[in-house]
Amino acid sequence: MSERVAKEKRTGKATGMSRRTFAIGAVGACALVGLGGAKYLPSKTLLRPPGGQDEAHLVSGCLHCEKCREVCPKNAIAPGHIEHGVLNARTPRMNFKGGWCDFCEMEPGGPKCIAACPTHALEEVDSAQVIIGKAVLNRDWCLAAKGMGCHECVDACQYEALDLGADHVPIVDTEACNGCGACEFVCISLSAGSITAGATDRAIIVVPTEEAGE
Amino acid sequence: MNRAVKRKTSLRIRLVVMLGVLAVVAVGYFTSAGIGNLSGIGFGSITLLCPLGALLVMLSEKTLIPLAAISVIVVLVVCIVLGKVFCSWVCPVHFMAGLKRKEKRAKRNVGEGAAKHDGAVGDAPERDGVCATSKSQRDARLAGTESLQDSTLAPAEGSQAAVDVGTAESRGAGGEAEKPIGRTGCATCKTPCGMAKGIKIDSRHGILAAALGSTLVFGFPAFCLVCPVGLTFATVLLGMRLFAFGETTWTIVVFAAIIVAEIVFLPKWCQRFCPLGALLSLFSGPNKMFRPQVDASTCLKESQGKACSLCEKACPEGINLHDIAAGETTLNDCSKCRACADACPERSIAFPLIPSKNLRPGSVVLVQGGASGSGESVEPAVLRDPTLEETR
Repeated sequence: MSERVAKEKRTGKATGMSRRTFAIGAVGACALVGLGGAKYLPSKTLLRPPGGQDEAHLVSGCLHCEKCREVCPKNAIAPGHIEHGVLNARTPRMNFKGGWCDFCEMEPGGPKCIAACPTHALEEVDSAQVIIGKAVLNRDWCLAAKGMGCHECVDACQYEALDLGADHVPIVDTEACNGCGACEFVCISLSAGSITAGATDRAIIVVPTEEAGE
Repeated sequence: MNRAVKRKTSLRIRLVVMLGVLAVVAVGYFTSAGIGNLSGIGFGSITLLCPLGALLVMLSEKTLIPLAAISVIVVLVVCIVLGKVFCSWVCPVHFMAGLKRKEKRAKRNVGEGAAKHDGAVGDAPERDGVCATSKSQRDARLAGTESLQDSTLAPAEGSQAAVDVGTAESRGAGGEAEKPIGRTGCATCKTPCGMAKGIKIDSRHGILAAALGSTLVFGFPAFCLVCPVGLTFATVLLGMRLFAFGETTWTIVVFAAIIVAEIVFLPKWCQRFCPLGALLSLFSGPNKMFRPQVDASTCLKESQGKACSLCEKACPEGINLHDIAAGETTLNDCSKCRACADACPERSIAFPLIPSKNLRPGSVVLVQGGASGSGESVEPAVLRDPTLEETR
């Protein structure tokens, strides 16, 4: 019995900590340190709001307070999901199905999401320099390629990154595109009740810059 | 009847406050005001960040973020003035954990009743002489009897006890001197193995240190991934988005599972694991206002020696008001939920704005007679009436 007392005292270091408490603390602490390894799990590259292009900086600074998503006047920001990677869950991502990014050009203070970010995980940036991603057109799903004469995306683009080619199908100028998502937002294919055989997404979508070449 | 209604008042008020905050956040989610959630709540530059999150972010970015630093300082000030109020008044996890606690208590009461009927309380014989462990044992113990036990058991423990006494005394030197006579922390160890005041390090502090450490090493706030408070708000948001936009994702299932795992499967999340609670209780160290105080003249245990420990059982933070040193938590961990005051049959517990000098916090002051006299007269009463709680 005295051995047990002694042992409890040793582990508790005379602070009244029982062995159980000590064990819980140790196991919990180890688990939490192990959780840091989640960083090395595979994760998708997401389209980030302006100022969030430095992925490492965004993930280290984001507190998941949802402010950027709330203040976005275009509703273009959505929360990341666990399917996008453990670390990306609850972080802001661009969702051009809901809106597109005009970099809050009418706002005096620049993009509202950057202004709202309390931890500066979204950094102050020059809106003209930001590249959110690049638009990619899937000709198999594009209505214009089917001779429907659609040019919604070309009309929506403010950056002259889209033009109709010789066959009246839009062509993306990757150099000029900054991934604002206006084209994806207005694309009729697979939205507004239009159905394209085999299509799983809209015909023109914005993808992360490094995936645009494929 | 009237009392029964009154008893739940604080719980109800707390519930309303918590749901109010939740509602504000939920409404904010679908407006463009940018209120945010508990990770960072407020408008524009008047935003209060989660103090733990703020610390983690500053560590992971290794820079001083003004808003984060201000948030930590503001929370520190609030904790000094009001104590750890966040936990019981705002945190939704505390309520969810409370539901579990309630269930468990109901089960335990049934079990204990049976055990007492047999004349033996749990593992009491086995643990006899060991540092305060068994609750029923602690309940039956009184300040007076403690000193008697001390003298009888001291020889058995021998030199080891003496060594431990020495270390404990030197460590807890700050609080020791102020203790009233006849009040010992731990019956068999002569001196308290825990402290009644100051910072008691427990498992939560280890987890807090690990949260800070892993953030420093891996460069991202790792704890935020599993923080049940953040995940609760995230689940609310995802639920709203599910109904509003038909956005389906496994995330909502995973988050709910993590919350359930932490609250249901881990023993006592708030008391043993929560690093945010640990941080807030560290911040609440200097807090003196609204601390619970026992009126020893009306407290059943302290005035009549009855084996009442309803306040201790009611406390979600595991504070033993009759003998703070015996518990693993101190008044720093008090979240001012008033559960003890509501549970007290004699209304002996108050939360005064300024600590009253007549009432010591969690005092076990021998009211009449002094140490030796009351010890003898009180002990038989306890032995005769161990089932006091059930009869009530």
